[in-house]
Amino acid sequence: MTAELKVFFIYAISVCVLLCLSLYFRFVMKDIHHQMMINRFFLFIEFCLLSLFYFFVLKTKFKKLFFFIFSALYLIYSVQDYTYSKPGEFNFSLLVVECLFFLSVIVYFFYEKILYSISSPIYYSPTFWISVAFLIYFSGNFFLFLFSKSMFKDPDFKSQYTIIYSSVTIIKNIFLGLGIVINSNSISQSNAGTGKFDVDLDTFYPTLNTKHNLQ
Amino acid sequence: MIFLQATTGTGTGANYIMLLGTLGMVSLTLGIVFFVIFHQRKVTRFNMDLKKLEEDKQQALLNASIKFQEEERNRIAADLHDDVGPLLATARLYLNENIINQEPAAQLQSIFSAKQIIDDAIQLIRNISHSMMPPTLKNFGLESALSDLFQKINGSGNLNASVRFHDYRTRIKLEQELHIFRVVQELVNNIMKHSNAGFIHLTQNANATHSYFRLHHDGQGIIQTEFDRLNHTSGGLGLKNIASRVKVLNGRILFEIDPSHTYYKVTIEVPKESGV
Repeated sequence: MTAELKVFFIYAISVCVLLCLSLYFRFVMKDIHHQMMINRFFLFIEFCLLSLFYFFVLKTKFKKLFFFIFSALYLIYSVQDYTYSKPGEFNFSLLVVECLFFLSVIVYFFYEKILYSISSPIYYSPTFWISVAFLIYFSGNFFLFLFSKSMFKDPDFKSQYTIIYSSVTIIKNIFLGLGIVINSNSISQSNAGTGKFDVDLDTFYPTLNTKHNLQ
Repeated sequence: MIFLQATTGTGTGANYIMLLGTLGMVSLTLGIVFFVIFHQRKVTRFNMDLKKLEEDKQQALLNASIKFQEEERNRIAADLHDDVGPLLATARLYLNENIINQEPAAQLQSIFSAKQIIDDAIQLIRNISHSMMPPTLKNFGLESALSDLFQKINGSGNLNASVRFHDYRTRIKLEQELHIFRVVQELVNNIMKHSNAGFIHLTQNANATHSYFRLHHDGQGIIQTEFDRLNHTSGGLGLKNIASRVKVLNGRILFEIDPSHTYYKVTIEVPKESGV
């Protein structure tokens, strides 16, 4: 398994754990303050893990500096937002920043794919489908997050938010799943092409003198 | 109006904008994804075609090289069988057992004839051997070997052939020299056979990294496109052999015509690899 896929699986596990925690605080503990804290923490973890994912995927020379600086800036912004916002309130501008950042990164990733990936079709690569999933997720939710800051209290908007967010998240998850399926398919395809035969070529019964054969 | 409502954050205008924006973003995303897939597919297909062409070319060169080798072997076998074999058989006839019962004068005559035949056979074997690896090339280098070759051509009187080496102070590897010699030999053969040229001139020069050999002739020649075409078709064994030897040398070959259209030029560029 490649480094970027390992990061992706860590990301998937983190999403599961933090989502369960968030739901627990919201519906069992009825503690909005802690739920928001977990949401903020989840956002930061998501930003860092996705940055790490693209750090392994991208080929550009300045990626190390680029992702490090942006992750640090994002951390500062998150801490500042946490410090100055009211308890139990969630600032969607963090999400907007994240969306803009990853939309740019993913578009750049596609640009790199066009430039360098010329030996095999792009759709055999799991990173491509994972990127498609995140591109749909971030682009589909961008306007939603942009308007949420001012309109989240509007019940019509809230219902629209739920529909759009859920639909986009489902599509994202389908593409993520596709990425993993493609991965296993491509592995089995590559095995087929690297000399695995149905006949046994290792065992043989020499008919001539063994000593002679060894010479 | 809708934009105003949206910026104030109230009313259905903002909802429409958000919906349209979301739809627009998703459409844009899908557009980008499809563009990337189709563009990359196109590039991959083009590369695969290019790779296949290159593989076919390699295969043709390999086949030509094998065929050439087999022809060379057949030629040597025919030379040995048709020329050396009968000569030695004749010499054996002269030296058979009856020689003892003959008159001394007849004996001497037989021995003399046998000696002459054996000398002829030796010369013939030498010629075969020289055609495989010219001794001048092995002992004195490419410059001498090519000068020798051009001198022989000049001696025939049909063609004015000359060589000039400008910068060949350090000999390159013998293996490389042999390849260059064979390429020049094949080119000269082709010029003599097909071009009806009045002169051939070979010039050598070098820079820090490469050696250059250029043949000029005033006959009917070919240019690069024709060379490439002939090289890709089933015929042109000699040209394929030239191409494969140049490839082995990691070099380049260029067939050109002079702008004045008075003579053709063939330039061979080979990287310098010192043999000393």
